[in-house]
Amino acid sequence: MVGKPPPRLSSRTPNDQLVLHYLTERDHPWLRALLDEYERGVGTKRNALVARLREPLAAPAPNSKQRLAVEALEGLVEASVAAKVPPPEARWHLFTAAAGARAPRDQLLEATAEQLGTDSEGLEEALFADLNSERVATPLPPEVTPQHVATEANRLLVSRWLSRAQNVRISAWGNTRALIRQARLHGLICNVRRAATPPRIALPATLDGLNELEAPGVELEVSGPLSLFRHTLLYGRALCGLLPRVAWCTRFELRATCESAPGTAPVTLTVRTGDPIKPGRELRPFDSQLEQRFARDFCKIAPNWNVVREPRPVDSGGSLIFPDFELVHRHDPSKKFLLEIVGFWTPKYLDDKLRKLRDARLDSIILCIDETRGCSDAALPKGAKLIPFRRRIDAKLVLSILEASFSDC
Amino acid sequence: MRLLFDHGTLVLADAPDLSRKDIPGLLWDPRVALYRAPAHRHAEVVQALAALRLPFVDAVLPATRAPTGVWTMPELRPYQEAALVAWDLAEGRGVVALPTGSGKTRVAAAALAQSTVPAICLVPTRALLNQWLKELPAFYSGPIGCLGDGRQQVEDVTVATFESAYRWMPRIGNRFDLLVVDEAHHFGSGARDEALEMCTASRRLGLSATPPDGTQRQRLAQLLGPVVFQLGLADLAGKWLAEFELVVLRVGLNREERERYELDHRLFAEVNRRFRALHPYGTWQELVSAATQTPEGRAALDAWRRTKQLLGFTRAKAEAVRALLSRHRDSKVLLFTADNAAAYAIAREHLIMPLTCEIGRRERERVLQAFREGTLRALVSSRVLNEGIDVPDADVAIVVGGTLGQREHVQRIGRLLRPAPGKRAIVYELVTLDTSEAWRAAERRRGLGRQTSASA
Repeated sequence: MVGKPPPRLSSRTPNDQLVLHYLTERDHPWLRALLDEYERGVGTKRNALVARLREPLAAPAPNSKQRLAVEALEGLVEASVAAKVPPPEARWHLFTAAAGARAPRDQLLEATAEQLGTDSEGLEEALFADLNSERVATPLPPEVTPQHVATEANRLLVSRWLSRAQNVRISAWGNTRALIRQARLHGLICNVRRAATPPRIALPATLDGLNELEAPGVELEVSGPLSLFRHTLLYGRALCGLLPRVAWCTRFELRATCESAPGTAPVTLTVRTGDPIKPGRELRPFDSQLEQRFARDFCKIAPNWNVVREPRPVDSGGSLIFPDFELVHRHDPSKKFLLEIVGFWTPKYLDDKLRKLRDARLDSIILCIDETRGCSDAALPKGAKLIPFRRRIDAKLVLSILEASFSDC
Repeated sequence: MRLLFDHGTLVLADAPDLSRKDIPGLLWDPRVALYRAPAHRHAEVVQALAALRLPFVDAVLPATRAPTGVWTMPELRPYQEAALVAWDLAEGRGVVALPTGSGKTRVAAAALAQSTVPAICLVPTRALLNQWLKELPAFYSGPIGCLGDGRQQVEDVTVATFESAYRWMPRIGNRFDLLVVDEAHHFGSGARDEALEMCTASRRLGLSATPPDGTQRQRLAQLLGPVVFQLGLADLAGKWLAEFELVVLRVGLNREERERYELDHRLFAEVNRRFRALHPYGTWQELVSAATQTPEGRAALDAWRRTKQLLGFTRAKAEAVRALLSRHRDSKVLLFTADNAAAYAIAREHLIMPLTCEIGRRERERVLQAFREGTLRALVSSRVLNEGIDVPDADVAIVVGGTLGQREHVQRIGRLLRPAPGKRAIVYELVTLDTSEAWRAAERRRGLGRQTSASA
């Protein structure tokens, strides 16, 4: 997908904005015809079937959309190997026999087929049955509907452009943590700021309620380190990986500066809430087993405290901190503590971090530091609410800090 | 001030204002408020900082480096030694251009043995990856890492496919001091060049039988160094490479094929003519891009694809292949086709083992071994055999079709030239008369003319 030229389903406005022509409900009739045509070809060679699907259908279809839908469909269905004997064995026996004999072709086929317990026809069919070009189309999985194909095609459409982006700016509200983690995990430079009050954006009537939503928002600027020096497609895959994550945000707007080919004038791609983009797999409630285990342990021993999984990001010295948990007292929500798990650290790093937290007047935060990932033997900063751990965070210790801070709990 | 490796780039932490200093490749990165430079300029940056007498800690290379195994220097032929000396004199940066079969890998092994530093070797295909992994243990006693073909193991000496290197370099680009690039002509055109840019190795060796020309050569010189040593087929044929004879067999189309060809050719030629009238110097990509905008253009491109498919394996070519295989049934024969479909068609019709990118590693190894031992006497392939794979004693090649021009042709013929006492290889080239293939074949033979004086 990355590196392929973008499909023609887009047009450029005079002010260099990109308008994507998504597949919508209006395309469902011909998508249904496409799926029917596929069903007719089940059991035939996949490559031949794909070529047939690209030809005119029973219902008229726009050429570019049809090609994209076929590509999307190819990714949704599997192809099987239909052979009476394992193809590599068929090849080996037949071709080595042919190399060592001067017998006619048919005679060689018959002799080898007999040796492999099949007939000449079965042997010939088996010869290349395992190669991509010869595999056989299997029935459609039940979940593959016109809607499903359209959504997948739309994802491909946006991804193709996004894979050619030089930088991406995302404004998102709600469920933003996974998005940021995804960007950083893939080595992208991700500058995060708190988003301004969410602007009212044009949404379909069914989604208009989102404009009233008050979720914590962030603004991300995402690009790759090497992008500073030249136009590169190196980060295409990583940038495309953001798309299913951003679709999980309650509200979002993604703007990407893209070039259809090196040297062409850049164009701005905009994707926002309401566009027909499918979210990725459901986000896991915890990023690691460590977090999951802590949440479970803490809930067990502290029935009066709630564990909030994705607290609002906290302003600290111009940047945002994304704590892992917020621990809120069940009967008095004003009593709350943030908890952050720190990966690699040095005392200097912790010092800086605590200084930033102090500057932000944020004292009610517990830092859990992994003893095995300390990068220095120097003494830890004094006075901080630090919980060193190895493989498991001591929930009792966390609770004792909370109880000491709010002695009336 | 600390110089650090960051995802395939270098960053300067705690740096003073360097905006007026001339440090190669260094730019201010406002995204992270740090100075940043491409990793491949590490040596230049270090040199410039030292020249400016700026105190800094170079923390780019990993602090602890595991002890390496022991290298054994391979025995070299005189021209291989000369190549190594030329590379040394160029301060360990440059491309060595030697014809296929002349032992480029051995030159690389000698460079690795001589340098005894952590090294990464990049190869274009999985087949070559496995070949390098098989050959290196003869010269190196330590563990050899592998990135590609489903394996992900990084060691002091690592072999990686271009594709894997492209994805891994942001993480491991600072671990090696020597970068070896096999079939280096694949770089320099823009695609995947980042794999070389994200590596800090100061010593770089490119290997190629067909180094590129023009701007690609200049770009390659930036990434790996200039061509420091070059020999052609003519320089080595006779003593170090086998002599060969090139026989061009001109074949025709039958009536039905001719009708199909003319129809499709006209369709494409008309669209091409109109495009050329407007854009006399337009590239093929620009033509395709323009053609895809209209139904007529798309039909023309489809017609072009059909003609290519048709010319790839015509009836006359099938007959010629039958006759040649029968004539050389006691020789080891390699058949080269334009695409996989033609390779499979030949495999079915003449019961010859195909070797394509779709054939798995284990089967491919088994097939090559059988070919070496003589259990199989012929192989048909479109691209897998083009580059690098060591096929020691094939003596006849039949070029049924090709699409990649001069470079591909030279590489293919090189497959036959590994020397043996009294060996004289024969290359048959099948060309369809009165078609676009005729001039394309003439064009690719010109590349051969540059490489050798031996032709027929």
